[in-house]
Amino acid sequence: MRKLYDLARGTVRLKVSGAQPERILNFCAEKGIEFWDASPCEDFSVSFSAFSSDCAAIMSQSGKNGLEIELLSEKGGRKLASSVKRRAVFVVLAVVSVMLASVSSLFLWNIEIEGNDKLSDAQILRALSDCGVDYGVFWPSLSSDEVRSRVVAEMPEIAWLSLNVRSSRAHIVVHERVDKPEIVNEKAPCDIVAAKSGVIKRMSVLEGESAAVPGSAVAEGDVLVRGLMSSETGDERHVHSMAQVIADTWYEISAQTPLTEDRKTEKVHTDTAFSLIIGKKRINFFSDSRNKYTSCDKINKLRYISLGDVFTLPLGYAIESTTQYETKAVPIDEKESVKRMKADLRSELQRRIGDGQIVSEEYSVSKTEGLLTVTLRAQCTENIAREAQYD
Amino acid sequence: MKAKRDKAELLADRLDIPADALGLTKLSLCGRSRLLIENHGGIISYGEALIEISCGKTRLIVRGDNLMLKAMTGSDMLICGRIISLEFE
Repeated sequence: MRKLYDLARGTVRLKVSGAQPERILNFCAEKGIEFWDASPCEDFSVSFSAFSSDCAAIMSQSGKNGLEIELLSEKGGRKLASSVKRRAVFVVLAVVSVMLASVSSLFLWNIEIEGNDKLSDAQILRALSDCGVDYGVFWPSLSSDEVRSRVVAEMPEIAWLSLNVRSSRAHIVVHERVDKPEIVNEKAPCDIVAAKSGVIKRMSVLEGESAAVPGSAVAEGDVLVRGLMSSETGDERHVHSMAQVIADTWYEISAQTPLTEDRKTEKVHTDTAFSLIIGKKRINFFSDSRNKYTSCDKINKLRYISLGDVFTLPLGYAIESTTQYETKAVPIDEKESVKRMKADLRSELQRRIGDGQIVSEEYSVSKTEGLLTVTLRAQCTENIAREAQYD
Repeated sequence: MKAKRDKAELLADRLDIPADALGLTKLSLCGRSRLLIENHGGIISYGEALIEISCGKTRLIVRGDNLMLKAMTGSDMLICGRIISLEFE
């Protein structure tokens, strides 16, 4: 800040030579002329800095008392003004650029969305656009509360939304609504049926009448506990059956993979397409945007001209590079594939039995018609009780 | 002048007020590299190794290496550099 002030006011470096150069320093101090960095240069001479505006007063002492004052250098102030005059066009352009950047920072040129999982960016952008949040909008007129209320009313999937605008960049944080869990009516009459086939090990019936006994084999859908109960008076009543039925179950799950796989061997050709983005407009510098190759990698890069988080200009560019490659069928690493499939099969089994336990498991590997097959046979213990509502 | 000075010092002592408030020279030494002189009477001689400053009836001699007058006003003065000694004459 001090340097800027000195530059604006203008400073001079002076050299005083003579028998007693310190007289000038005393003169400045007496007259209230500010000076600094006074240093003796050689014998009988002192150099110091002062403001350009005081230069004339100091120079007026030259020749008096046998002292000579020499102007060594001049910075800022009038000198800067004269150099600015010579480069008026550049200065005007710089000022106009700064003004344009300042004005453009009052408009939205970049919208970032975060936190959406079920909803796509495009869906949210469309809803925001309907609420007035769009590219090129004068953002000081936007009300975060109003936008939130309107978007939440329009999109029931959104529970809450926040709009933060920093310069010309809008940051939208979306919180999606969590689906309500299904409410089970614990008073509605129902049976307990077998969710899976198996052999019952033990049963704990809390409500209802048992229709099976431990040790019996049951198939999927068989009634294990009835919701229709008879009383001592001969009447019948319906109840909401509740029971835990632990049974031995058996699983056979298979996974297959081809013995060969296509792998990228070499890059054949790379095409780069450039587009200029001005506001919402996109100017393509290529004629055909269709995919020319059957096997290719496509990488899109989109950049807006911005200065950190301070402001973003409505100018940007997009580079789309397409790299064509060739594939070659190569044999797979069988050992690694078997290991991976075993892990996948086990996690699939664990998903199916839920809280149940795996009692024993056995894997078998076979190769047929270019396929590698891994089969898991397992015995598990799990709760097979499932409520079945009456129609 | 000396009597006047003595009177000023005496008055400062009697009234229990800072002596510099009555125009006496005040020296503030920060480490051995910065010396602030308030209520000085001007520079008598100036060099990299020695600076003589008028303090009314007395003279203050600052000896050191690479001495430099960093800033100066009618009443205050800041000297920077490696200060070796301060003497009054």
